[in-house]
Amino acid sequence: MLLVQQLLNGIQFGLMLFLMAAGLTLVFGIVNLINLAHGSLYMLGAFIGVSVQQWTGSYLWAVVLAIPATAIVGIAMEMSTLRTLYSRPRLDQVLCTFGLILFLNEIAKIIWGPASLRMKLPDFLNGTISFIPGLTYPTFRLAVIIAGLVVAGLLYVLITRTRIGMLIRAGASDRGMVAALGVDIKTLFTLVFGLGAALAGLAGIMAAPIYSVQVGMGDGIVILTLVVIVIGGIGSVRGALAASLLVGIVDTYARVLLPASVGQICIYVLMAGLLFVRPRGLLPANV
Amino acid sequence: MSEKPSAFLSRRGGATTLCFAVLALIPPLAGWLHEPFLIRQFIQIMAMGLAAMSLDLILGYGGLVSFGHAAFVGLAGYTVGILDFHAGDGSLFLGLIPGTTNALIAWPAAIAVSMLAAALIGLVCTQAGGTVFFMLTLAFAQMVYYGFSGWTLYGSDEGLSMGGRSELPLLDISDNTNFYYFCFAVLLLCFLAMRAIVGSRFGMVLRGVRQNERRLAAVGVPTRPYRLAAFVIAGGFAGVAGILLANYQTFVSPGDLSWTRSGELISMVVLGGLGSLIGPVLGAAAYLLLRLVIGSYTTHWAVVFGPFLILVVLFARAGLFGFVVRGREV
Amino acid sequence: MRRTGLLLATILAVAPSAGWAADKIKVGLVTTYTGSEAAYGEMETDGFKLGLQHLGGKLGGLPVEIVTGDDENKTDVAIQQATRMVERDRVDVITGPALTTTLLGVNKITREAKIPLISGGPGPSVLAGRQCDPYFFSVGWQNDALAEATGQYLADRKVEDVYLLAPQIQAGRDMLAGVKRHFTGKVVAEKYTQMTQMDFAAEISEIQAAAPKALFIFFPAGQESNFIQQWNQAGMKDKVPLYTMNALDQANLPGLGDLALGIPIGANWTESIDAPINKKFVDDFVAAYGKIPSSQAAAAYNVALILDAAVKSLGGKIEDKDALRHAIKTAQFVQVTGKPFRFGVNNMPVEDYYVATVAKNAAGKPIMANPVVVLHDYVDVYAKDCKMTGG
Repeated sequence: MLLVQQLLNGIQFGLMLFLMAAGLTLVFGIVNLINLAHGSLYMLGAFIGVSVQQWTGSYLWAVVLAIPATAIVGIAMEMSTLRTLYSRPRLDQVLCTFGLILFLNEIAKIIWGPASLRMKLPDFLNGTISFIPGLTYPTFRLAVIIAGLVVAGLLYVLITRTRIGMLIRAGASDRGMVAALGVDIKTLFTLVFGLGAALAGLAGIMAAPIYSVQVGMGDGIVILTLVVIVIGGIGSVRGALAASLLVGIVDTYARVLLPASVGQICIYVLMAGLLFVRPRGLLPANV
Repeated sequence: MSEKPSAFLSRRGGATTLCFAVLALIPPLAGWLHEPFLIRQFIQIMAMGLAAMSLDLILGYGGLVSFGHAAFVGLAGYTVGILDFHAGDGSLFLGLIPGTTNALIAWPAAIAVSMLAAALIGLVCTQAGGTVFFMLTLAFAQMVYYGFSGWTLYGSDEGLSMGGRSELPLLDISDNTNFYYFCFAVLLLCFLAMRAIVGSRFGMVLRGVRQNERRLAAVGVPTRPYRLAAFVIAGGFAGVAGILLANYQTFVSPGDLSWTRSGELISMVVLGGLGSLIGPVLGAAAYLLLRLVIGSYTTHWAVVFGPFLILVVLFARAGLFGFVVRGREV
Repeated sequence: MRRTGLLLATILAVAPSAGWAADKIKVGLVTTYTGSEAAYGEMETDGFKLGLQHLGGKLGGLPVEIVTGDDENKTDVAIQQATRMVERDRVDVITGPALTTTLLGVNKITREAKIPLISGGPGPSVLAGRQCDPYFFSVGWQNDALAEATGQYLADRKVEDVYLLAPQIQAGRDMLAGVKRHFTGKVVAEKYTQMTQMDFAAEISEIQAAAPKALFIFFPAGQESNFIQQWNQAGMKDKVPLYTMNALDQANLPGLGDLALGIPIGANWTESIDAPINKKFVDDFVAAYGKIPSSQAAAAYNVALILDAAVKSLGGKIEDKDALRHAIKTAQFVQVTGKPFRFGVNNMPVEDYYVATVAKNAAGKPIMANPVVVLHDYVDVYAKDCKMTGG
């Protein structure tokens, strides 16, 4: 029973990472931008969600409103700063987005204050569910798992079955070609960025009731997310899914089986080892 | 890289001399202003500046975007701290090595640890380039970070407090002014050493690696040994900076080797001017003083600093040093 | 530098002998205003300010200047803030650090500078025994003793076994050592988590599988409230009874609502101790800040009281650090619990430790109710190892 429960814990953590990783890997793969400030979008999603909840008293409204709001912030970020970084060297991207983290953390501190905030759950999400006798699991964590799987399914359909998805794939491999077809590549990239931001916002609002909502909450998770997309293969959503689950499960088991913090090392050893043998990741894109 | 006119070179040299002259005058100034805090602040600037300078060696000259440089700074700091810890209670490190507060033993050991770690990590990381190099250095730095944050004997997340500064023969560095001039001398020596390295044939190849790796390979220069050597040398100088920092704080913590610290070091290098060695010291001064000055008006100093950093990256690639000498290096 | 040093030495040497009273007292307040533990900083500041207000805005007749610094719950930042206060702001005394981690960092600086540090809460074991510091004082509690009260309470109720969980930090080790000291049953497991961990799913699953008769936890307030929230989400509230110490108090109780009802808490003070001074403190605090004070707020109130008594006994002549230290050690005042305050040899408080239970007050808010004294006038176990010089 314990093993099954820990497996669920690992999957839940992994899918939370996937929500972050999917957006980051799309942006990284398509516009070749490493965006450290992706974690700030996650933080903003959570903060906006808390505000909406304080205002309407409802968690569902918070989810419904925080996602588009985060997407808008993301689009504004893309159009104001990040757009100029696409053709810049990696170093410039790292520094500018590092500057964005400092800036957005501080803005959040000004708006929402330095203290951590809490998100309340509606009763129907606050209990536990029993699958089989002896195995209970928190309803909300199950909801996170379901949300993660739904997003994975929708992204799969979007990328493989729709015209936008086709353009995204085409834009990634040959930008000039897509532009020549008369497609506004700039708008396409902005849309992709908005999608990534929306997913980060969703991750933030899903994390809010479990962790507390506070300034800097995105700083740690963005590094783990980078690890995930590198393990999975940059630009590959399938790879991101596989890698998030792997990282989530390894992290959970390592945490209970090994002394505190040796568990964290495991993930990085895993990543370094994998990159050493497969520099392009687990399931590279465009193969 | 084309040679610059001699007027530019002299301006460059002049600016460098000016920087060191200002640094040399800080203690009398602090005494005159009755602000002993100034001395401490500038010790931190010189130590962080040295760390940034060592990063510039691989980042500015070698074009290697390392996101784990703080690990080498922190490793040396922890070596000094751990030896001090064992000297304090007479126990043995890993049951084998006795502790010491003697700088002549502890410091070379610390530099050796940093260089050894840089050699091992570099061996793996220099295999790759670009994004993978970036992510691998991050991964190894995170391993070191979590390693120390979980090592209960040495304070885990809470950090390790040292009994005092290391002991040097002839010079008592527990006095802040003495320690200041000692750091000043170390910074100057390291600067001269790194400038010599950059100007040597080795430095030329390193710059070539950054500009056109393929062409170098085509003319038969194997680039990887150069990148690896530069990585190890930079690790060694980072170790020197780590020793100064640990002695400055008489405290080491995982925060000293976190990824945000690596990010700060990169910011300092770019802020000061990539590939200029002395620029990163200016960058460190700007970063730490801005934080102090803006921080005394508002706790929200990052609201100003974040956009400032972005603007420097986007529009002023030559950094502060470039601004000072009014020339463009890159 | 040497000139400044000489000058400073001259001032220090001349001022006390001249016998002039200082024109003000400068108090440095280093505490946490940022992150998951920011509630501590707010509570402490409010508690200290209310104390000042009750004393007419002065400490022992001297006007007060407060210098605040945010330690961000990081030891290195706490060290920087304390250094700044000592060297640049030249404060007379430092108080604050709400967490053992940051407190030990600040102590490093004040010990060397010989500036009194009065803890606004924690009393770490490392400062209570062999390494006790004549310039360090706690008017809050000694860490272990809080958990010892809970451990004694568990033993009195003949609880057969207990599962222990705390973060991998000094305070965590103090607390778990404390529970075990008087507990007579079996310890099922003693687990440590990472310092900044926010998700406890894996730990909760483990505890569920171990099915202990009781669970004792200690986390700093923000993490503690995360844990209790997740503990409830996992449906464990009715399966394994939870015990803790004053990391569960008004710093996080309001956010938890009904989730914490019934949890026993080891404490040195609670908002429901029946003493006139405490009633006045709590009522005025609620009136001024719209919230019930926490343990940290009460300790910070004590800091104002002890400074007032000390400065008064010196007639305002606070320049001589050694005299100031001595005056703090021997200060006579009634602390917020209503009993005369007394230090042990190690400058930790000798006081009663209670176990209170979370229950609703008349207004329906959760409070630490029905405090029962478990350890009377308790001298902590480390005091015997403290050989203070110049006592």
